[in-house]
Amino acid sequence: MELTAPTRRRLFARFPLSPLLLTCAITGLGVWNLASASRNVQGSLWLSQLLWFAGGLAAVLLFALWDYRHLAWLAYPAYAVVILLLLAVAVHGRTIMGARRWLDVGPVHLQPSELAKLAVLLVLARHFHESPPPRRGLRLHQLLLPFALILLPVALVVKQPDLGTALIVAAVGLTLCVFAGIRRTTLVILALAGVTAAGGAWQHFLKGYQKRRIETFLNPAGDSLGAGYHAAQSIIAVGSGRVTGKGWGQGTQTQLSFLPEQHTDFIFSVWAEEHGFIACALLVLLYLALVLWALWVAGVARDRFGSYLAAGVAGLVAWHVFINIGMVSGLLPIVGVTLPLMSYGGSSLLTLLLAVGLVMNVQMRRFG
Amino acid sequence: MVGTESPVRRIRIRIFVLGLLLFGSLGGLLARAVRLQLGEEKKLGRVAREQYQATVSLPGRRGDIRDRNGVALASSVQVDSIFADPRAILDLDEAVEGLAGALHLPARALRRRLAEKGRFVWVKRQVTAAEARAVEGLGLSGIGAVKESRRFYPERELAAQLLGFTGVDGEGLEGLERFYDQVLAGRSVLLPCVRDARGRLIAEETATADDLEGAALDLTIDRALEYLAQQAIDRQVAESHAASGIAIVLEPATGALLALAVAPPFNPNSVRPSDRDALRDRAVTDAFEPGSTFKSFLAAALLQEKVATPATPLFAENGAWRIGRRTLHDHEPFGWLTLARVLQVSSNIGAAKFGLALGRIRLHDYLQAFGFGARTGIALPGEVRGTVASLRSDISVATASFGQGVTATPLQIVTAFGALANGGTLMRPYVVERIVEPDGRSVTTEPRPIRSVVSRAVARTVTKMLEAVVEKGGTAPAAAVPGYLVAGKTGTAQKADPLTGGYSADKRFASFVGYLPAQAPRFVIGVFVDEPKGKIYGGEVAAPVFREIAEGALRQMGVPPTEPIPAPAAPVAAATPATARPGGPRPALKLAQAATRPLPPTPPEVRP
Repeated sequence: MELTAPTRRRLFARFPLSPLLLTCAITGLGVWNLASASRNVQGSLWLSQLLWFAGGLAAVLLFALWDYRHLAWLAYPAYAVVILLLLAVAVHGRTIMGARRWLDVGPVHLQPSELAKLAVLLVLARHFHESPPPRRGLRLHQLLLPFALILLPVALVVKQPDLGTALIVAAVGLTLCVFAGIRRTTLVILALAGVTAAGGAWQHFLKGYQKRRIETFLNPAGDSLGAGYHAAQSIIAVGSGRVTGKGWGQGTQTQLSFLPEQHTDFIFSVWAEEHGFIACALLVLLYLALVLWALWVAGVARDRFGSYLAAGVAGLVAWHVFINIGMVSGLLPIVGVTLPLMSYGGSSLLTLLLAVGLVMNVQMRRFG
Repeated sequence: MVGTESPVRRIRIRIFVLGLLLFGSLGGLLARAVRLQLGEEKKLGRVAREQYQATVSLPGRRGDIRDRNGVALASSVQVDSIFADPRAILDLDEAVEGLAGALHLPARALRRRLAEKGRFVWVKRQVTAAEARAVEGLGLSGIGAVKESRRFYPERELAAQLLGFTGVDGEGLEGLERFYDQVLAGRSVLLPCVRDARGRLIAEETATADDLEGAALDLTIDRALEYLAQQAIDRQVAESHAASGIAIVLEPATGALLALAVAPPFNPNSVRPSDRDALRDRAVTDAFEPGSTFKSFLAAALLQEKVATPATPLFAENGAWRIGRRTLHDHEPFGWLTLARVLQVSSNIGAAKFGLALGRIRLHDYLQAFGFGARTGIALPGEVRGTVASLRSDISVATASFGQGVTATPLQIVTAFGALANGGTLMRPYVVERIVEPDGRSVTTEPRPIRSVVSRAVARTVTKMLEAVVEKGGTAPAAAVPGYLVAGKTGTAQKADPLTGGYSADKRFASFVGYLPAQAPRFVIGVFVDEPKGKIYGGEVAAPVFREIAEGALRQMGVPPTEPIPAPAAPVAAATPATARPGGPRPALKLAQAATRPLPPTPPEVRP
């Protein structure tokens, strides 16, 4: 697909500026919030985050020049590479705080589990693009391959162990399956199987601390100093922010280290404590805008591949936001899921920016 | 593409379904935020405050107590106290084991304390520097140290009953520490702190030294003289196996106490339960039947009221005089005695007859005028009044005339003698010269006359008569100080026996109170020995102590001799002629040499 000069000009005229600004706004708030959350930490995390953001933005802009449809044939190789990387992590990954999640690539620690989110997204979009689901929805045997494609990376990520990321990968995959459409009888069978599988997973796959977190979630008062401590402190932080918050750098929960992992998974508690309900609502609405934009793009995409990609990204962002905020506000058990664009971490930021870039790419090329 | 339905419409429906799902999820988050931040925000805000807010009570540094020359008698040093935040202890076993070893504490009691609920328990107060270092070295979480002020008495037993001591929280429990507790205590400052998740306390503001420090007391006490008095009375109490002893040195012109020593002593740095009886300042807390020292006040009253002159005679009944149903006795039989002789030989019968001549009302009034039956008003806790109220019958008037049947504190007696010494004015005794605030402001105690009791002439005449007591033929030649005229009076009171209701056969309260130089007295010195064994008379037990203290006081304050030194005994006399060379009598030179350091004639002013 050779791009001539006039097409390229037209392309730039269609460049989706608003979603880009929306993304920049959320990330900007994130950096500002991070500067407060990491005041007790050595070095300036916010600056490092800003550099990652700049790099990610450049990558997105470069990516915009390149037609997303090339990704269709890249999907299976990319998927294979990510699976290999996950296997490499399992063999000699870098262990931080008991979890083997990182792979040293030169100066940076890469988290292949982050890439797995995009890989599953790509491979399922390609799959459903090539074998379109029947009108009345997918039947059970038609779901076997998609489920296998989801389960392989999920199993590897759970093994690391990284329950949160595994959950996101699975959620994104299932979202795409739902988006493709599932027959009603199949749904009932799946629901029954899911309950059984959850029981099995509890028995055989979850680690002790993972079980404890879920038990604690179900009965938080049982252990407010042990596993429930993080949840309790986070709820206190969110609630004590009240309507307008305590002010930047004034959050007592944040600044006195009551919040665990406050610059990564619990970054929303910092935001909620220091800026209050109004800012929380604003942030959720910004995310909602991003998600709705991606869904709109799914509706207007020129082909099924683009549509699935955009819908998958909408799911990725929404599940990230839902699980993360749900967890820090006590709606869900504590699992390690970052808040998109707000949490500190290069891999996570880069993944989200690439995902947003993907949707922009689909939008730009919706007319051909 | 596939199917009859428009693919665009199909995809729109699915997008709508997915959108609804995602919208619902995020809407759930908003609902949660509403609940937490608009519904439970008060409760959660309080929980947040409770877990980070803390206050630490910083006890102020207690002010020093210093002698008249600025030497510290009580001081405060900063020491560490170890506390625990039981909820922040991660490993109880490790904490108990480590602390028990480092602080020499029993492990079981420690474990019980560390297992308490709450956020603050003391582990050990006022530890040594080595113990504090050992605890720091353990690096335990939830264990911290605060600086506390600990009272330290560098002179140990010196003036212990006068100074008193403090409890572990720095509160004054006895003596000046107790009376001036509010003044000495620095204000305790409640310092608002924040506590982080590891239980570390971070002070939000610091207290300034002025906020915390208490005022200092500058006493009228002279450390060297106090030491001398303490040594002398301690030795006598030990030698005579007495129950207790008191020595007081007072400046008659002002009422300032130069020394106040009580025996047996105790060490205020480490008060033990066995010290219980030694803690109180008996000079003010205990009233005794004073005995014959009271005859001095009787004589003053007789002269002032012109009932008698020193030469007025009466018959002393040869040692036994029946009055009512009781018979009074003298320690040896006397015939005719003048008032002066009654004092010199201390005849009880003579005093009783003179007292009856003075009359019940006038005797009572004069005793009250001399300050008996009322508190002196000295700034010490627990002062008692003593009693002179019960002079109803002739017998009570007769016995009160020689100091039985009435009670008085040693300080009252010394203060009353001060009135005789200074020309007839009763001065209020005081021991705190000045209260010095940390910012340098100070309140100075002015000498305060209470009342004029007798005329200057009467005081002078009584002094003359009291000089005879110390001379040959008097009851207390042992109190004589070579080179100086001494006026004084012995007392040997019988003690009431609480078992029989009468007087004890062998228990005595022996005393000698005197002043010198008699022409212009600088010191009133009272020595009181309670229940001496063996030698029981004031002239034997108390007078030598008086002399010892008097000599030291004269030397210490550089008072030149007023009298020619009597020629010493033969061999010494040969070696030292009375006047070896011009420029002054040699013994005076000897006195000066005996002083540990050359002193100016007047005491140096208290601290610049």
